Amino acid sequence: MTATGPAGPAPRVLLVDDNHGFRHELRLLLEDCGIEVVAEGENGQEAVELATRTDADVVLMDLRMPVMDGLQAARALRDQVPSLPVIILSAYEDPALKSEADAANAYAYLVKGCSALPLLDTIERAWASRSGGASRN
Amino acid sequence: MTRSGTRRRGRAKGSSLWTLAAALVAIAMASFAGANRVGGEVGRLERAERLSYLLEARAYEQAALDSRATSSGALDEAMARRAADIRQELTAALAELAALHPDDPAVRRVRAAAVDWQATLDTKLALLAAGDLVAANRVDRAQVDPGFERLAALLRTTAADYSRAASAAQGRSKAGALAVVVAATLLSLVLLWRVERARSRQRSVEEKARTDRSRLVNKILSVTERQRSGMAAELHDGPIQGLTRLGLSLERGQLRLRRGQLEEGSQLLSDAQAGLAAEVQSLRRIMATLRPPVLEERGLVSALCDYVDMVRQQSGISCTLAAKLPERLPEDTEIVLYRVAQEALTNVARHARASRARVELSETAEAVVLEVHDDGIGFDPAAEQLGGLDHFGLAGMRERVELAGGTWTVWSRPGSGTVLTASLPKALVAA
Ligand SMILES: Nc1ncnc2c1ncn2[C@@H]1O[C@H](COP(=O)(O)OP(=O)(O)OP(=O)(O)O)[C@@H](O)[C@H]1O
Ligand SMILES: [Mg+2]
Repeated sequence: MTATGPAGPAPRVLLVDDNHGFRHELRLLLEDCGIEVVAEGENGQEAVELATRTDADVVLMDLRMPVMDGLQAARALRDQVPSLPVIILSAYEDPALKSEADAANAYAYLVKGCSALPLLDTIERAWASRSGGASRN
Repeated sequence: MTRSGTRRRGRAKGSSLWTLAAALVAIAMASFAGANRVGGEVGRLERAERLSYLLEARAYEQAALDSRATSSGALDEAMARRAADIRQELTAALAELAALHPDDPAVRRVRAAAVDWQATLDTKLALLAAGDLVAANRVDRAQVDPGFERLAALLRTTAADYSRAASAAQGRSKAGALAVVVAATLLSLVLLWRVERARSRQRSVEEKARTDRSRLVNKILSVTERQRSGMAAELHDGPIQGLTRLGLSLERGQLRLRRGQLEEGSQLLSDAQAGLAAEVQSLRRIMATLRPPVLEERGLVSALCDYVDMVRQQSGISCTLAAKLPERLPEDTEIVLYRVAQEALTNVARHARASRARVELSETAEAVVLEVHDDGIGFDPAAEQLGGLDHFGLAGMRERVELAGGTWTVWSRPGSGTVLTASLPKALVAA
């Protein structure tokens, strides 16, 4: 199930979640599926820094985090790196949060606990949309 | 403590109110009695005044009859009857006057003068009847006339004196009546004022009870809200994260198996199994704090036994349970006692720095009693102001127990540990 896309053989992901165990497990799964995790962050602030410093194609980010939460980070990324798609991966199945994420221009709002397939699919599509738009490199 | 103190002060105020009212009533009654007495005196004086006039008038009439008799030589029958009537009237009036004012020297003088005059009159009449006109005339001029003059003069002054005294007494009686009116008005004003004050005090007590109650209710609500958001956070950070993570590792295991990496795949599966058991455990813990199923299934003693074990494990305090309860209690009683024990042990773990804690359950003829002892640092319950804004545990326990018709006490002193007692009536049981 190795992915290939217009910007390279596979999407490079920036993974941001304050729960270390979850982050670790998700990284292993993504790597098992041929997706490269270029960096990991623990909060929104780290997400913004890492997004400008690394060559990630997609950001995969939790909502509830200390220092700066996922929504704030998504808004900052929308302003600073508009071409970088952000996928929110939240524990809350909450329409209000989802519409806030939409307002922050998030590419998608996924609820944690969904199976790997839709997650991988969303990452692929986000990567493809980015490659279709202005390239960062 | 504070409550009974307030009640005692309230009673003292009540009794002083009654003392005041009694004093005012006494004053009013005294003034009224005084006015009454003065009123009676006015009546007596006025009557005396009238009697004096009557006596004077009758004396004149008798004198006139007498002089007629003297000039005509004898009285006809009608005149004689009239004379006898007058004499009787004079005697009766004198007697009444003497009865009205027995100690008045003026009355005595009037009486003596009248008696003298009558006596001289009798003498003269006797002389006339005997035909001794000269002697009769002599007695008339020497004794009867001056006697009459003396009597008339005395009666005039007596009448005038009584008239003056009566009007003075009337003034006094008016003053007395005025005093009664003033005292009564004052009394009613004071009573009204006290009643109004008592009422407004009552109102403010009720007002305070209401605000206390709504503060407590608000606190209960905000505590509930706090507990819920705590619970949500616990679910988010615990089971939700854990289970999603397990989901991911199961996906990975499946991937491995599909790729034919059997060993790695089954390793991932058995890891996930262990992780799942741990998550179930943590969900059980959360559920137990919400509503321990063991409480319903096996009763208070078993539930407390489990809880005490958990406290021992989590806090390291040597915590024991001693229960002497033969049977299951009604559901409501069990829940109240369980919550009290839970809250008390939470306080022990959080505040007491105790090395030992003991939970005791026992029953008396009328009640089920729960005691929670600890040998920790203790505190001053009076200074703790049960129900302070950020401290809800003690006040909540007390409220809960008292609402169930029981009694709740906490005994503690800095340095001497704490004993908390909740006792619920068995009667509630039947109800
Ligand atoms: N067993 C105990 N030993 C020592 N101090 C205690 C004990 N129980 C209560 N206290 C003292 O009494 C105070 C009030 O207790 P209470 O349970 O009412 O509130 P709290 O525990 O501070 O807050 P919460 O509302 O979360 O229960 C505590 O802050 C603590 O200082
Ligand atoms: Mg407490």
